[in-house]
Amino acid sequence: MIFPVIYGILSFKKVPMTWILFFINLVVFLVGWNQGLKTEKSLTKMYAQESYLRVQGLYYGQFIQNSLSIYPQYYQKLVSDSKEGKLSSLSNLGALAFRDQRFVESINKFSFSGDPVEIEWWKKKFVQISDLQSVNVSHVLGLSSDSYSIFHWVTYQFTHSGFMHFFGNMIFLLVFGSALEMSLGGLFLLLTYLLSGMVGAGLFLLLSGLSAVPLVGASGSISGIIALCCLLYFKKNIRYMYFLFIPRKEYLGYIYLPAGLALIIWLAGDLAGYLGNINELGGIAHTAHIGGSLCGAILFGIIKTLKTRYNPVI
Amino acid sequence: MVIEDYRFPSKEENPINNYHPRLANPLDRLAAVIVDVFIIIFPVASLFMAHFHKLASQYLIMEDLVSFGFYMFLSGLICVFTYLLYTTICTYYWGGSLGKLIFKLKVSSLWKGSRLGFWKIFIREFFKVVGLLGLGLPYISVFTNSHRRTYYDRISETLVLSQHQSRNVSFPHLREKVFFNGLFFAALFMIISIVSVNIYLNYLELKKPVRSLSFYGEAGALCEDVSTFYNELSAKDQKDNSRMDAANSLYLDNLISKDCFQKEILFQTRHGQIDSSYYLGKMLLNSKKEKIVQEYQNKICKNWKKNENLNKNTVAFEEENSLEKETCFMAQFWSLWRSRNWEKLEEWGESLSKNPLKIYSISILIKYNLELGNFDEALSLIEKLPVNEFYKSSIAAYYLKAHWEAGKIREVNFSKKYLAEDLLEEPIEANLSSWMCEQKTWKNCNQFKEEKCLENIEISTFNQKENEVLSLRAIACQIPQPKLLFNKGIRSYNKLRDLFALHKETNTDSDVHLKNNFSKLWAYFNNSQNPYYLRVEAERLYVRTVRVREDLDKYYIFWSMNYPTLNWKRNGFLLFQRYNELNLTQKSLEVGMRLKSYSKSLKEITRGNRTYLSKSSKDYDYHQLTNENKEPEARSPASVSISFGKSSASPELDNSTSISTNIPSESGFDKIVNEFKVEKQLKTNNSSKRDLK
Repeated sequence: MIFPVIYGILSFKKVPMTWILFFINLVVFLVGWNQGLKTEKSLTKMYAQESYLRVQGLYYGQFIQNSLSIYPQYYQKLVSDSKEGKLSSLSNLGALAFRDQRFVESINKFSFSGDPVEIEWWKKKFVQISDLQSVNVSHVLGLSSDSYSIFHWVTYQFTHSGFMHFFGNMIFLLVFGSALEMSLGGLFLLLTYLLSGMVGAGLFLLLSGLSAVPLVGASGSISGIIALCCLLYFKKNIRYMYFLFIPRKEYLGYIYLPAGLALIIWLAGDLAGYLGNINELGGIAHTAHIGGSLCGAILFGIIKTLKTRYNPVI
Repeated sequence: MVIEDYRFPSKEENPINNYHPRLANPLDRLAAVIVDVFIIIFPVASLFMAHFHKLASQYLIMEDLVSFGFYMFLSGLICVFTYLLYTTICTYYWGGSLGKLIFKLKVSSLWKGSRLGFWKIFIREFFKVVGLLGLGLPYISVFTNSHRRTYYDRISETLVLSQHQSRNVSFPHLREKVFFNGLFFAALFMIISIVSVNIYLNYLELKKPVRSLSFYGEAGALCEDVSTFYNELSAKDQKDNSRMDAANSLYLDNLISKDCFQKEILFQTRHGQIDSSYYLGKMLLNSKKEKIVQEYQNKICKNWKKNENLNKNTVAFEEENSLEKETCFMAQFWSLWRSRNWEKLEEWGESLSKNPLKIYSISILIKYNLELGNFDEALSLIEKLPVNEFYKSSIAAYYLKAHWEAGKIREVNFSKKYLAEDLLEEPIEANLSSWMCEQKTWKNCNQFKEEKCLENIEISTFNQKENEVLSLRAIACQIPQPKLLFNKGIRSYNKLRDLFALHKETNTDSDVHLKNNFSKLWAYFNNSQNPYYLRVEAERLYVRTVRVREDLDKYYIFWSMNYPTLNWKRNGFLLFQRYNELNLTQKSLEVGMRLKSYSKSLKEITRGNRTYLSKSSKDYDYHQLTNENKEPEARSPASVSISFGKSSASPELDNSTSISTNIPSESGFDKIVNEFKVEKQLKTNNSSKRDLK
C-alpha cells in the first residue's frame, strides 16, 4: 500500500484555504450525519423490505416493457426471468427502480395493471420513502435527476454519505490541497476545487447519467487538485508512505517517487472502475473523478500557456 | 518443497559464494510480490479485465451463475496473463520485476555465468502462480530448502540472490527447516481435515429425505406443488375449487412455502385473473397488515356489499353463486378469527355451512371445531378433505388430534387410507415427521423438544402398546395450529391467569370480589358454550383456588359426575388436597377412593397421594368406607345422568346421597344438587355435540 504524503498536513496559518474547505465539509458532514441518523435507519429498513421490493419490481417490470428499447439488455432479462417465476429477479428489479428517475416521475401517471389494493399500498409506501428521502442531507444537497440547479452543482461537493467517504476525501484534500495552496495560493485552490467539482459532475451527467440517487462527495474536486498538483511536479520526486503488510519496520516507511506516478495510478484505477462497473448500480462515481482530473489538466494547460508564475515548493 | 535438491551444481559451477551466500531474504521476496501486485498489476490488469468484470456483474444481477463464473474466470485469466507477461519481460531484461529491483533482488541462473532464457523465466513465473491453487502452502519451501529455492526455482533451475549488503540471509538453519516443515504438515493436515468434514457434511445433506414443502429455488412461473395437488384432485373438487383456491388451502395448512404461494399470486396478477379467490390469497399473504386485510375483505365481498350485516340470515351456501359467497363468508370468518373476536366468531360458527365446498373452508372448520371441542363434527369434516399426497399428512394429524383430545386415542382406526397404508411407506413417513417437526405452534408441545420429535414420531412403534400413546400424542401435538387458534388459547389462559392473580390478592372468604370470581369461574367451565380450553383452564383454576367448603362440595358433585374429562385425575387430586387443608378427612378420603377406583393405572394416584392417605387413614376406618361406598360400574357421564333420573336405588344416587348426608349442615346444598340433576338431564336430552367428555 502506497500513499503520497508530500509535506503531510500543514497548519492553518500556512494553508488557510485548505482548512476552510475542510471545515465546510466537516460542518456539512456533521449536520448531515445528525439528520441522517434519524432517517437512515428507517430508509434502510424500507429498502430491504423483500415484500415491498417484489411488488415494486412487478410494476417496474410493466414500466420497462412499455419502453423496452431504452433499457439495457440485462433489464429485459430480469423482466423475463421474473415472469418465469424467479422471485429474486423481481426483488432486483424493485431495487433498481429506486434509481430510475423516469420511473419515479411516472409512478402517478403510468397506468399499472394488476391488483388495485396492492398498487395503492405500494404507491403509499413509495410516498413514505420519498418523504424520508426529502429530509436526508444527501438528497437535499446532492446532485440528482430531480435536483440539478446551480446550487446543487456546488453543494454536492461539500456533502458526504458516510464517515469513510468523508475521511478518505479529506486526507487527500489536506495533503494535495496544502501542496497546491503553497504553490498557487488559496484563491486558485478554491477555484480548482469548485471548477473540478462542476466538470466532474458534468462528465458524470454525460457518461453515467444522473439518477434518482444523488451524487455526493468532494472526490471530483479533489481529483482536480491531485491532477493539477501532480502535473505541476510531474517528474519531481515526492514523498510517499508505504506499508507492505509485513509487520516489520523495514517494510514500513517513506519512499521518494515521481509525482506523476500518483496521477497514473489514480487515473488508471478510475478508468478501470468506470469500464468495469455497471453505471446503473451506482457506487463510486468514477466518471466524476475522471472529469475532475480532466479539469485539473485543463487548468495546468492554462497555467503553462499563460506562463503563470508559481512557487515551486517541491 | 520439503524434499531436498537432488541435482545442484558444484561449488565452482553455482553462483553462490559459500562464505557469503547472500541469498534473498524470503520476507523481501514476499514484499516484492506485494509491490508488484499493488503498483503494477492492480491498475494495469484491472484495466484489461474491466470489460469482463462488467459482464460478470451483469450476470450476477441476473443470477446466471454459470455465465458469471465464466466471466470471472476470464477476468482472473487476464490478470494472471498480465502478471506473467510483466514479470517475464522484467526478469528477462533486468533480472527481476520492479518489486524485486526495489529490494535489490535478482533472479539468476543456477549455473554460473549462464543467462536465463525467456521460456525458462516464463515457466518459473507460471509455476509460481500455480502455487496459489495449493492455498500458498507450496511457497513454504523457501524456508526449508538448503539454498532457499522454492519449488518453481527448482523447476526452472534458478536462484534468487540479494544484492543488498545488510538484508541478505544465509543458508537456513536446521531448526528453521524443522519448524517450517512442521508448519507445512500441520497446515496440510488442517486443510485436508476441513475439506473432508465438508465433504462428509454435504454427503449427509444429500442423504436427507426430500421435504414436501416447495422451496425458493423452484423453476417455473407456477408452484409445482400446487400443480401436483390440483391435478390430483377429483373432478368434483376441481369444479368447486379453482387453482387459486387450492393454493390458498395449501398455504393455510402450511403445506407450501410463502415464496411458492407468492408465485401463484404473481401469475394470477400478470394474467389478470383477479377474482375473489385471488383476493383471499392476497389477504392471507398480508395477514399482518390490518388495513390491507380489511381492503381485500371488502373486495372479496363486494358483490354482497348490499347486505351490510352479512350474517347467518343473509348468507347461505346453497344459494346461487354459492362458491363466491362461500369465499366471502370464509374470509370474514377467518378475519374474525384473526382479530380474536371470539364472541362473534362463535356466533358465526353456529351459522357455518355443514357442507362446505372449498377445501380451505373444510380445513378452517376442522380447526374451529377442534378448538371448540366438537371432535365428532371435526371427524366428520376430516372425511371430506381430499386424500392425496399433499393433504394426507394434514388429515392424519387432524384425525389423530381429534381422537386424542376426545380421549379416544385407542379408538384410532389404522385402516384409514391416510393412516395405515401410507404412513408405512418410508418417504411419506419421513415427510410427515419432518413436516410435523417444523410446526412449533401448539402450546402443549413444549415438552417435545425439536430434536426428540423425530424419535417420538416413530411410526413403526404404533403397534407396540407402550409407545403407542406417546407417539400419537407427539403427532397430535404437532398439528399445525393457526395462530388465531393458538392466540385464542393464550387469550383464555391470560384471562384466567388474571382471575387467578385476583384470587391470590383476596384472601378473606367474605370478600365480595372473591365470590364473584368463583361464580365467574364456575360459569366458565360449567357452560358448554364456552370454548373448550377456557373450560378446562377455568375448572383447574377453580379447584386450585377454592377454599370454602360450600364451593368445594359443589365442585365435588360436578367432578364426580363428569368422569372422565381430560384433567379429571388432576382436578380430583387438587380437590383431595383442598379437603385435606380444611381438615375434612372423610371427604378427602372419599375423593381419594374415587380416584383410586376410577383410575386404571393406580401408580400415579398412589404415588402422589401416599403421604396424604397414610396421614388421613390414621384416625379413619379405611376398609369400612370402601365397603360401604362401592363404585359404580357404569362410568360414562351419560349413564351417570340417566341413573340420577331413575331412582334412589341406583348405585350412583346412593353414592351422591352418601355425599350429601356427609354434609347435613350445609344450607342450600340439596338445592344445588337438584339443579345439577336437572341440568344434566337437559344436556343428555339435547344431545349437544359440545358436551364435555
